[in-house]
Amino acid sequence: MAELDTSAKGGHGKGRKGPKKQSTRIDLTPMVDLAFLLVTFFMLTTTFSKPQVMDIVMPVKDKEQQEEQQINQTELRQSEAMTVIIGGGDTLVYYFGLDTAKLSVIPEFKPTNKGAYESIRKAITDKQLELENDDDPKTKKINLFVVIKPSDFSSYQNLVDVLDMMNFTEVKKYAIVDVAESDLSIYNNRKK
Amino acid sequence: MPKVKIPRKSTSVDMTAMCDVSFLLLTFFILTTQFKPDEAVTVQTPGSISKSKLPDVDVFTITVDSAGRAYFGIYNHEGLKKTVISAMNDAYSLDLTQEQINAFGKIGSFGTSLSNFKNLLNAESYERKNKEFMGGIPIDTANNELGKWVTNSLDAWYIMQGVTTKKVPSVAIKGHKKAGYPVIKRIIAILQEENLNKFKFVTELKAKN
Repeated sequence: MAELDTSAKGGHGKGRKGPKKQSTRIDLTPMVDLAFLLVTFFMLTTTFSKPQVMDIVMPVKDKEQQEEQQINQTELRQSEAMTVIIGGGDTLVYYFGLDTAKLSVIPEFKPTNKGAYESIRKAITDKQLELENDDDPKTKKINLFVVIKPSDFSSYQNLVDVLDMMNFTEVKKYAIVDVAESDLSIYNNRKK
Repeated sequence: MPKVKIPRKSTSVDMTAMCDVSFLLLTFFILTTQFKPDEAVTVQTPGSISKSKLPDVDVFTITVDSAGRAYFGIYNHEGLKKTVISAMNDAYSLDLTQEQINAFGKIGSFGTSLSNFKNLLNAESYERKNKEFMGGIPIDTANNELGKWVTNSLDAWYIMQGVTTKKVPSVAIKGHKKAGYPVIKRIIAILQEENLNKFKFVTELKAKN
C-alpha cells in the first residue's frame, strides 16, 4: 500500500492508451504516526492501575458500657495476646500479653531495631504454631490476637508496615490501640 | 567483468497492518482511560501486599502530606460536590455565588481552610496550588473543619443515594510515608466521631517476599 507508485510512470512510458489508471493506494505512514501519537498520549494519561487499599475496621466506640465489656473480653485473652509497640525512629518492641500493668511477671521486652520486622514476623508465626499445637481443651481453638500500639513518635509508614505484616502472617484478629502509660515508661527505660 | 544487476526494490513497507494495530490500541486506551484526578498534593504512600483496590466512584479521600497537613477530596461526582459545597455554604455562611459553587465541581482535592475558601474558588486553576491555598484543612479539636467536610459530604452522599441504600461510601486515607502517627490518629478519631469505623489506607504495591 505504501509502495512507491511506479506503475503510473511506467505505464506512460510504454505509451499505453486509454484513461490513466490512478492507484487507489494511499500512503498510510502519517496516519500510523498520528495513531501512535494518540496511543502514547492515552497510555501516559491513563490511570491504568487503581490504587491499592488496605481495609481498616475500627471498633465502634460510643458507649462506655461497651468499652468496659470489651476490656473484660480482652482480659481473657492474655494468653493469646501479643502486643507490638511502635516507637520513634522505626523501632519496634513486642511482648506476649496485653498490658504490662495487668501481668504478674513483667515480660521481657525485645527491642528490635535492625530487622525488626523479620524478628516480629518470626515471633508471630512461632506463637501461631504454638497455639495451633496446643492440646489443652481449655485453651484450644484460640487464635493469636495482636494489639498494635503506635506511639506518637511513630510514622504512618511504620503503622502500615505492621498492618501489612498482619496480612502477611494471616493474623485474623488485630487492633490498633493507644499506648498505655505503663508500656511507654518501660519502653523508655529500655531505650536508655 | 560482467555487470551485476541488482534489482531495485522499494524500501517502503505495507503500513496497513501497522495502522490496524495502532488504531486497535488507540481504541482500547480511549475506552479504558480515566484521567488522573487533579490532586492538590501527590504523596508517596507506603507499600503493602494488600490486594484490594480502591473503587472508582463514591470515594472520599483524606490526603496527609509529609508535614502532616490534611487535604480533602471528593471524586467522580460533580453533582455531589455541588450538593456538598451548597450545604457547607448554608451551614457556615460562606456567602458563595452560584459561579463559585460551580467552580468547586472542578476541584479534585483541596487543603484550604474555610476562611480562605472563597478565594480558592475565585482563583484560576493554575493559582490553586499557590502557598496560601495549601495550608491544609484544620483538624484540631478547636477548629475541626475536616470533620465538617466529612459530615456534610456523607450527608449529601446519603441523600443522593436514598436513605435505604445498601451502598457505602469509601473513605480512603492517603498518607505520606513520613507522616507522623498522631495526625493519622487524629483523622481516625474524626472519622469515628462521624460513626465511620470502616475506611481504607491507600498503599502502593509491594512484592511479597
